[in-house]
This record gives sequence, C-alpha cells and structure tokens, in this order.
Amino acid sequence: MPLTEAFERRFLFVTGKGGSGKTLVSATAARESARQGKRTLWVEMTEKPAGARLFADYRPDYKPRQIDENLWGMNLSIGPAIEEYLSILFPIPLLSKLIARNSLFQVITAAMPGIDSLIPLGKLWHELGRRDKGSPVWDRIVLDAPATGHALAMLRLPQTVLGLVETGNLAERTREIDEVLADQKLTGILVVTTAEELSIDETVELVTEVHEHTAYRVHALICNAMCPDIGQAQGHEFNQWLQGDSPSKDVPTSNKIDQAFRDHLSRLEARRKQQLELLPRLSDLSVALHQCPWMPGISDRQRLIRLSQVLQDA
Amino acid sequence: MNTDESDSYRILIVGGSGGVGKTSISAALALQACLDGHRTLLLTIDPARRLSTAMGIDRIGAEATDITEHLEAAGHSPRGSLHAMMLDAKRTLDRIVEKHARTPDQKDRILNNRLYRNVSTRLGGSQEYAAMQCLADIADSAEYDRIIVDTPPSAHALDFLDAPRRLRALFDSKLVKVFISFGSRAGRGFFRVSDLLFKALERLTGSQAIAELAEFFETAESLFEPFNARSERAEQVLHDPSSAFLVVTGPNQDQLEQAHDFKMALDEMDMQVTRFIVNRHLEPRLEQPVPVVTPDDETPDLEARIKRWGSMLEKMAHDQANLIANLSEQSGLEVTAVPQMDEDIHSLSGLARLAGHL
Repeated sequence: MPLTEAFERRFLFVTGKGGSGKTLVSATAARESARQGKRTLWVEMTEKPAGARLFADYRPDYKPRQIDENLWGMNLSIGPAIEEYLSILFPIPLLSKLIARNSLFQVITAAMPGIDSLIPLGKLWHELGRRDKGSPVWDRIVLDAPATGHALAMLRLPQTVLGLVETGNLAERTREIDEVLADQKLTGILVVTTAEELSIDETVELVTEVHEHTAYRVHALICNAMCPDIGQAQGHEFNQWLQGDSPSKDVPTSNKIDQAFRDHLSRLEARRKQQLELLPRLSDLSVALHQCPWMPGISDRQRLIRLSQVLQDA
Repeated sequence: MNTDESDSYRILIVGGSGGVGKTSISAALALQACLDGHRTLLLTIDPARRLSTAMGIDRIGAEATDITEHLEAAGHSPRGSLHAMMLDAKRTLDRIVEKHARTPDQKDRILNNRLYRNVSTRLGGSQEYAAMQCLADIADSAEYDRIIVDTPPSAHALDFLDAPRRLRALFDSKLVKVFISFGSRAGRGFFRVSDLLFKALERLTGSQAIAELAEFFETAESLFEPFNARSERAEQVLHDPSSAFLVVTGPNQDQLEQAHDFKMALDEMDMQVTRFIVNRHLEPRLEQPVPVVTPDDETPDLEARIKRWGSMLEKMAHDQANLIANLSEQSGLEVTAVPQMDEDIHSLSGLARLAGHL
C-alpha cells in the first residue's frame, strides 16, 4: 500500500530537528516508493551519511548507487557537486577539475554565503530534469534535507538570491529552483519533529517562517517517538496498577520486578501525557499531522520497516 | 556543582551535539554557581520559551541583564549574582562594525550592504562565529568570576569550533586583497589564474554577487583587523588554563560515541575537558535485566503489554549503564549521569533539581 498522501509528490524535501528521526522518515519514504515500482533516488546531505546503517550492502557516495530494486541512494556533498557543475559550464574536464580543486577557489566557495544551499538545490533540479530516452530518469527523489536551521536557509535562498541579482546565469538557475519548490504538485515539504517543547518551538517557527516568508508550503508534519499507550482500553485497571493496587489476579503486583516495571511505566505514562498536551501546538498549524511511535530496542533497519507500516495506516 | 570544576575554572563551555539538553544544563550550572556565591554570567542560546520565562530571561537580549532579583522573587537566596544574555548573532556582529567603523558613512554602508546582512543573519555558521566573538568580549569583563557558555545547536559538536574557522577564511587578508584587486580590475579581461577562478565563481554566484562582495571587502577592509583580533582572543580564551569544556551527551550508543569523538578532538586541539554529562539516562531498577518478551505492540492484553514495556525499559537502562561505564573507562574522565526527569525542565525548581544532579 502506498504511503499517505503527503508522500505522493515527485520531489520530497524532508527536514526536522536534529535527532528527531528525519533520516529514518526520508529513507522510509524512499524505500516504500521503490516498492511501489517507482524509480527512486534517496539523497542524503551530510558529512556522515547514515545510509549504511539503514540499508544492507549500501555505501553512500556522491555517485548514485543502487540500494535495492528501483532504489538508488547518493550523498550530495558540496565539493563533488561544484566539480560536476563546473564540468557542465566548462566542458574541458581537466580545466574544471583544476578550478574545483584549487585551494583558493575552495576557500572562497566554502565561505561564500548560500553556496552550501544553492549547489545542492541546483544538483537536485538537475536530477529531477534528467531524462533517458524521453522519460525521466527518476520517478521520485527523496531528500533527507539538513536540520531545521540549514533547511530554512535553503528554502529562503531563492528569494534571497533573486533579491540580490536579477539577471545572468545565477538568477536563471535560481528561478528554475524556485519554480520546483513552489510547484505544490511536484514538491512536498515534510517536517519531522518530536512532541517535546524545544522541537515543537523549532517546528512551529520553521512552518511559520516558510508559510509567511516564502511561496512554499509545508505539506505534512510527522511527529515521531510518541510514547505507547499501554493502558489503552483498560485505563482504569492500568491506573490502579500504576498506583500499586492489584486490580485483578491477572496483573502482577507486589514483587521487585513488578515495582521496577511500575517505576518505568509511570514515567512513560507521564511523558505520554505531556506529549499529548503539546500536540495541539502542532495541530494548530493546519498542516496534516502524522504520529509515529517510539521504537526502542530494535535496529534502524527494523524501524524502517515498522515506520512504513505506520505511515501507510495513517 | 562539581567542586574541582567550580574551583579551577572561570569559564565553562557547555558543548555537545544538538538536542541533548545543553541549554538546560548550562542554565542549571549557572543557577548553582550563583547560589554558591559566584558573580555568574550565563550566555544562553535560544532556550525553550517556558524555561526562559521561568528564568526571567524571555525579554532579555544581547546585553547582559541582572536576573538575581528574579531568583530572589522565586524564593531562592542567592549568595552571588546571575546575569544572563541571549546570543544574538546579528547584534553581536553589528556592534563590532559600529565600534570599529572609521566614519558614520562607512558604518552605514557596511550595515546596509546586502552581503553583510546575509552573512550576519542567514549564513550557516554565523551563530557559532558570533558566539566566539561574544565569548572574547565577556571573558575580558572583570564583573564575573564564573561564566557559563551554552553553544549553538548543531548536528555535530565540533561545528562550534569549525564554523567560525570557516567563516574567518572569508576575512583572511590575502583573500581580501585578491578580491579587492578583482573588484578594481573588473571588465579588463581575464589573464591570470585567479581570473579563471573568478570566471568560474561568477558562473556559480553571479557577477553582481561578486561585485557586491568586492564592494563589501573594499568598504570593510579596515574592520577585518578587529574581527580577526576578536577571533584570536576567543581562541586564547578557549585555550586558557581557566577555561574548560563540559561535554553533554545523550545516553544512546551513537550519542556516546559522538561525545567520545568530540572529547578526542578537543584533546587534539589542546582544549581542556572537565567531564562528560550524560543527560536523561534511564536508571536501572533491578540488579539484572529481565528477559525482554516478544515485542508485539498490538496485543490488547494488559499484563503482556506491561511486561513487554517494563522489560524493554529495564533492558535499555542496563544497556545505557554499561555504555556509560565504558565511556568513563575509555576516556579516563569523570562521567556525570543525569537521570531522566519526570517532566521537561521549564521552571526554576526544575533547574534546581537538575543542578542537584550535576
């Protein structure tokens, strides 16, 4: 079954607070898309790619590598991306290498405002437009975008650049990127968060900023690591057990292990209630909200599979 | 506060990856230092709203504000004082410009230069850079005998030290000369190697952007000295025998590994680390973990659910305890493990409880 509606678009920009699980969500989206028969490219953008932890026999590199049937992955690092772009601009291979590897050039580009946003966006635009025998090379590209701060800088970049330059190569390239991001049928922006105060502050700020100061829309919020509701249907029984009563002979009560479990689960229950209290701040944003469970004690690969089930059911 | 640490160090820098609770830990350390009688300054970065409200710092800005009275009003009896300031990257950089510009006209031209405004507000790394500049300023102030520095949230702890270096490359004097010579030679044709580089750069960023950058460099050249001097001072402060890092981390394996790597990197740079603080760890309740029962989250059976989650959490607690013990052994450093609190910390009493664990 395909994932929920927000994951349907051809270009998915997945961001979120560091540690909230955005890499897992983006990898889930990519894996599920490939399983639906779509040629999918999953793109990380980090010095320390996590792809190898999530997929067997996959070593992330700048050059797209096949992970599975229909699924490719790459790590979009700035250095090689600049080199590739220069090789398009200056079609003499030796020359573009010479420039890209010049240390002065590297210092300037590393320090140049916005280049760490512009170059990756340019590369993504290029990949979205690539065609082979008339049809697109990628049916879908899922970007594991940087954490909130840098992601926001990326999303604000087109406007910033177009405010600085109106004509020329840079302005043209930027307009192309802007068109992709603004096309709501093509691009989906997804924000991963957790139901903790700081994460929610950051998420609210990001969504507000995107909606008020760019022409783009956030399409879905994914609230990760939601504590399990252990009491569920038997709330009364569970509460009594938490308070130390023995509601029925089925529920263990007075030994040491039982007390240990009670301590752990009381905290978990307290955290769950706090999470529920914070959730309205996310629903107030009027963006589709999906909740994903906390998944301790299993490997990242198992989480990936579990998460795709959750996001289908949603 | 840990006694050795509080006796030996004037400046404590609270470092670590994002999302591990650096801001709360810094605030708790500052609160304790103030209660202990120190004239304390807390440099904080973007605390959660309820926490800053609780501390009485939700309206403060880039200027150090005395919040001692606020603590008294909340029922504490501080023997020292507590000033707090919030990092404001743009304000910090603007102030250096205002202080060192030669003429009002130069000041205005820089502050209004679009590239400068972009650098000071939006560029990745500007927060880290400003934090360093700010550190250099406050370190020299004789008003405080204890300074607690929170660091910007970033994926990797080292960004705090790396980002400023990267940004500083922009103000490197050799580079500036190249740019200025380019600016004044614009339109005269391309003959040199550097011209080829600029041609490439121009295709990447646009000639207008380069012209503005050149203009910025020309206008602001006289400011690079003070900027660099402040940066050098910050480096000195970081290496000073009375400054030290506290490495804050979470209790999971990858977080502890990152913390260890960060400590090694600090060692390599000759910066002192006093201890690790492992935040929000889960405390084991039993001598030995019980076997984890099959994880079937869907079962409606209450007893099975209690056993599944209870045993799971107990196992996690033991795993964390082992990992923490390993970290301590590997690094030879003290490790302070702070248990998971029942609630998010957003009150002074919560901070005081947190400080009790430190």
